[in-house]
Amino acid sequence: MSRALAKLFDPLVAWMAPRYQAVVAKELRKYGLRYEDLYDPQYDLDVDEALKRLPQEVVDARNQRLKRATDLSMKHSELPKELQQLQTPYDFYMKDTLDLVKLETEERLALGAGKPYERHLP
Amino acid sequence: MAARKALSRAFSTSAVAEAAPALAQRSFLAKIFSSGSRVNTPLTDELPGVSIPAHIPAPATAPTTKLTKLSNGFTIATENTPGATATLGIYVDSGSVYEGPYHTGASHLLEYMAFKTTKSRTHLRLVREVEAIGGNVLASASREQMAYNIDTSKATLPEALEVLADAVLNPKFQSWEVAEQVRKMEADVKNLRDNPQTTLLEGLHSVAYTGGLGRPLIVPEGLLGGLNADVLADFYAANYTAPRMVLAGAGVEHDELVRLAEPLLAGAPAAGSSAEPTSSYVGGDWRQFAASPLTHAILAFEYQGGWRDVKGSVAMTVLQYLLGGGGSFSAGGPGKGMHSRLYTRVLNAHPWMHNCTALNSIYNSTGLVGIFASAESSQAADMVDVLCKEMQAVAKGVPEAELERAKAAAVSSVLMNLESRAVVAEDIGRQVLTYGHRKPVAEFVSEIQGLKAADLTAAVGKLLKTPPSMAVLGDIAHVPRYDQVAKRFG
Repeated sequence: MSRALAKLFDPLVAWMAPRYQAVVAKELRKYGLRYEDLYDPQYDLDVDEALKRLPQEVVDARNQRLKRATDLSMKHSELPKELQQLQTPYDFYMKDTLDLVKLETEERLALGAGKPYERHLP
Repeated sequence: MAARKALSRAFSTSAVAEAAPALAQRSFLAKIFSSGSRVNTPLTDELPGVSIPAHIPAPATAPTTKLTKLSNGFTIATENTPGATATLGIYVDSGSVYEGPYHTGASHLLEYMAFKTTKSRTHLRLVREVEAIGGNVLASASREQMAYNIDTSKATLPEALEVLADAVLNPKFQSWEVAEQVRKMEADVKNLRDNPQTTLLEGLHSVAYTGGLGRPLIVPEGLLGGLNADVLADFYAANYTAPRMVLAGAGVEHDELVRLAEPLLAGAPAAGSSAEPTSSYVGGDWRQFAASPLTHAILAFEYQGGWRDVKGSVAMTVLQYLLGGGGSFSAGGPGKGMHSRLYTRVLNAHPWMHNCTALNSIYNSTGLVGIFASAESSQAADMVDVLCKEMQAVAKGVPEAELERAKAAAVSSVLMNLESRAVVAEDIGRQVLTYGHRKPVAEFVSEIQGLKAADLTAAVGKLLKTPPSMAVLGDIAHVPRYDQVAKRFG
């Protein structure tokens, strides 16, 4: 029932989605970030695990982008226009690894194994 | 009715449970005041009403080894040993001899990476499936062969075969898993300093041979940084090809195993890119200083011929039992070997000798045969003197009684070991890789029993004509120089 209702809104979403993505991309370009740079490893431990599995160059590039964006934000400025045009905010580097981590977690829970990393209240 | 059910559940075997009513004849008071049942038959008598099922008789003829070669070159060899359990093993003609300079340590790492994530299963799933079928997995790397085994019961054989084939033929060397195993290897390699025998063997091989056998099996600490998933995948693709692999089974029916295994093994690549490595023995001296109260040394010679020379291997095996030896603080016992030459002539005579053991590392076409010793550092020079004297004494001749005892020990050891189906599977796998077929144990036993004193003396004489190899760890300054030791052997 809810699926049928959602399908009713598909044309509207299809019209809005590219406009929304363009607005988000513009903001990311100002700070020189990619979409996946916004994933916080302290919020989602799966992201932390995925970052541990990625090649070191990819993680280093991500950290450098985050440092540059932090600096720009602190100075209330943005990236120069020429550099903004070179940015690729929707170039995903973490998606496959993150999907694999989530699949593995599902399999662990299905087999009754439990996650190897979990947050505990002290 | 409920009481009878409770009684039958209290017994662990069905045979006894069927007899439960007969045992439930108790007095009125016993029924009220005691729970469970009380068996009143004395331990010297049979329980009444219990029927013991007939045991499965041993087969009329001893099982023989059957061999089939698949179209891609994969060999399947099995022996249907009696019992409820089976062992399957895949043996690969790959080892540290096939490593090039960029792959140093790949075989050692492949042992750690065995039975991890494959293309069809995650590591967790593989472990859980092996647990579910009640199996044990084991992987072992050596200089010329790799071994992957799974033990299981005969009932869960197809599942075990599928897990084994998947793990060996479809590994997915994930970079993070490889990195984790390299960290474990690093810890183990650092602890190797506490194991003088392994350290000495590694050093001995590096100086005794040039070529394949001179390459390290255990990766040196400095080369650990070069090991990663790409190196492993390269080495695997070049060496794990079907003509160089054997599926060995003990406790399995041959035709059934071939029927089950053919679709699983047909996917193995048929040709690789690695050439057969050559090794030549040169002999040499390896020394490492260690400030320890004990000095350890190996004195070894080349045994030309290797396993492929059956008569020579038999002579070397009997020599091993003849020399024997062990640690000076070991407790004795039947079969311990405390009447062997190194015990009676060396360990009993010199209290400063802590360990004196015969050692042999035999490969397909060559081998190292010698003696390992540990002594107090103040007696390091005497220790080497004793080793040289012992080797020369065997070359001069041994009393008949000692030789017969060594031959009997060798025969009994071979036969007792082959009672275990895990050892039978390993024997099949390694023999098929070395010889192309499995020689029946009766052949080896008759060769051992047919060995004469003259044959042994000739073999040892031939051994001592090759240049010696020495490896010393400890107080190396007081150990005689290599050329002085070599001069004693002419």
